[in-house]
Amino acid sequence: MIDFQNVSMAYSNKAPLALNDVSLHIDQGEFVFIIGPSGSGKSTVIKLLSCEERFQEGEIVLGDKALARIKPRAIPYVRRNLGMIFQDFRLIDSKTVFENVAFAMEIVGASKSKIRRQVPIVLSTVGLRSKMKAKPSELSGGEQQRVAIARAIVNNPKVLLADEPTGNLDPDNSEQIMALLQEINKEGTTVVVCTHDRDLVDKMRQRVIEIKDGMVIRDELQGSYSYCILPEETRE
Amino acid sequence: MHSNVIKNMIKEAFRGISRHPMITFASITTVTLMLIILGSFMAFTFNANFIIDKVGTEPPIEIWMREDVPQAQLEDLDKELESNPLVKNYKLLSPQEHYDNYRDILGDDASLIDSFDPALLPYSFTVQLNDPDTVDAFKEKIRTYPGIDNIEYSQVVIDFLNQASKIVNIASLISVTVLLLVSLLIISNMVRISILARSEEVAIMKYVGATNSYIRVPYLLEGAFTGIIGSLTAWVVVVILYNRIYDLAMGDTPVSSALALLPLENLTWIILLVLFLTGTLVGAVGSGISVRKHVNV
Repeated sequence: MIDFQNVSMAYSNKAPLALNDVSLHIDQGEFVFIIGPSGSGKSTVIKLLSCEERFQEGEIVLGDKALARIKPRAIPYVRRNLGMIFQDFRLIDSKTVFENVAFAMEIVGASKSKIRRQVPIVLSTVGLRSKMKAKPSELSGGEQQRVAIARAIVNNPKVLLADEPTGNLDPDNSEQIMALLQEINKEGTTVVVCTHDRDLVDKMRQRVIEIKDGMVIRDELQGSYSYCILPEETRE
Repeated sequence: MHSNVIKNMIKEAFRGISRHPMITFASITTVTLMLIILGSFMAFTFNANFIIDKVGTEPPIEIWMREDVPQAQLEDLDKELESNPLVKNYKLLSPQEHYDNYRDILGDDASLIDSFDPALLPYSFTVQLNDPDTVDAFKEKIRTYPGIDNIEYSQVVIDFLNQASKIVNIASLISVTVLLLVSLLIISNMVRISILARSEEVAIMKYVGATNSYIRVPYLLEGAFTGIIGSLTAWVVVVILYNRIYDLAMGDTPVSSALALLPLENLTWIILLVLFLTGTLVGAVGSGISVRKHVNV
């Protein structure tokens, strides 16, 4: 589904490598945390997958698309197979909750009737059907993030990329958002979450890829935020 | 492109216009002012050329006959002028008519020529040509007829009018070009402000998979609509102004006068067409400049 093959990337000629010879593979339907300190390169992984940035070496394969030589005009079609969630929600304040979600469907040319049918269903999934007419400013942080998730999944993307989705939320809301992402994952969507949230990572026990100084230093199934300190005999 | 996508683009363009009413108002006002000037220049140029064309054919070519010219030679030349395609109209003045004209010119002193015999004056033809540029060709042709004493025409006046016509045309062309560039710059800046005001929305559109054209076309349409509204407003203003000026300037002047202005109906549709096309194009191209620079997937 997602394949990084010896990918190296720097933001400019003089800048140090943001990713250094990274190779990783994520299967369809996986739930993966990418963790690491600030500036380690975890957000760069998301930026490369969404073609927001280009890499200098290696290859990234997303589904059946190789991204190294992808033409600019093909980028929007790559993004349509991705749902994206950000720490700052990125909702349009002038639009209602319904319009914010419908917006993503309008862009891909969905008919009005399909939008009227699909958006309430998705808003029900994230528990916001009753707030369809509200503006983002009238919602709590957790609710705004759920609107962002609804917008991200309304076109049924194969992959959901979340960059610090709980960064602006309190622990309760963070848990709800993660539970929601897990539900979406159970439907078969690949979910990749970049996060600092130690408690959530430890609680969820999903695959953890740790990046430090642009390199993958750990890739652990059912991992935790920190290295698992296993008993001596188990390590053998 | 999917029809729903096209509908959305048009909807977004109208939203853009209504979302920033002050920016849109400023943009329309600027385009309107520019196009009023353009429309006024057009009206001026059309009228200048119209009058120059009319006046240009007016300086009569005077063909003076010999005093003893036989009647047959007069009739030959008369027939030639009647059939010559270069000639717009002509008039034969008899010695008596010349005499009467002189008396009119002398006015109270007309008695001075009381003793003068009109028969001593020559016949003359006063000729107006369709195109002042054909003077030389006409002169060459007529010169071959017997009985002609002299052919006079005001080359200086014709040259001046032709030169004036060229200057008016060049001045109009330069003015219109400058105005177009100014309009482009202003629309481009207006759209730039509009894009920057919506930069967050544009960024979100990119993330959810909007193509460049999906993002750009509404701005282009917004620019074009602005241009269209500006052009229609400018056209109405130019028509009202022209009507007023026509009423004031024409007064008692007959429509057939060489200095008469063009009637409004001769100008109105061509001005509308030019303003509409210019406004639309300037709006679309002006916004295109900013869109290309500031909206990239």
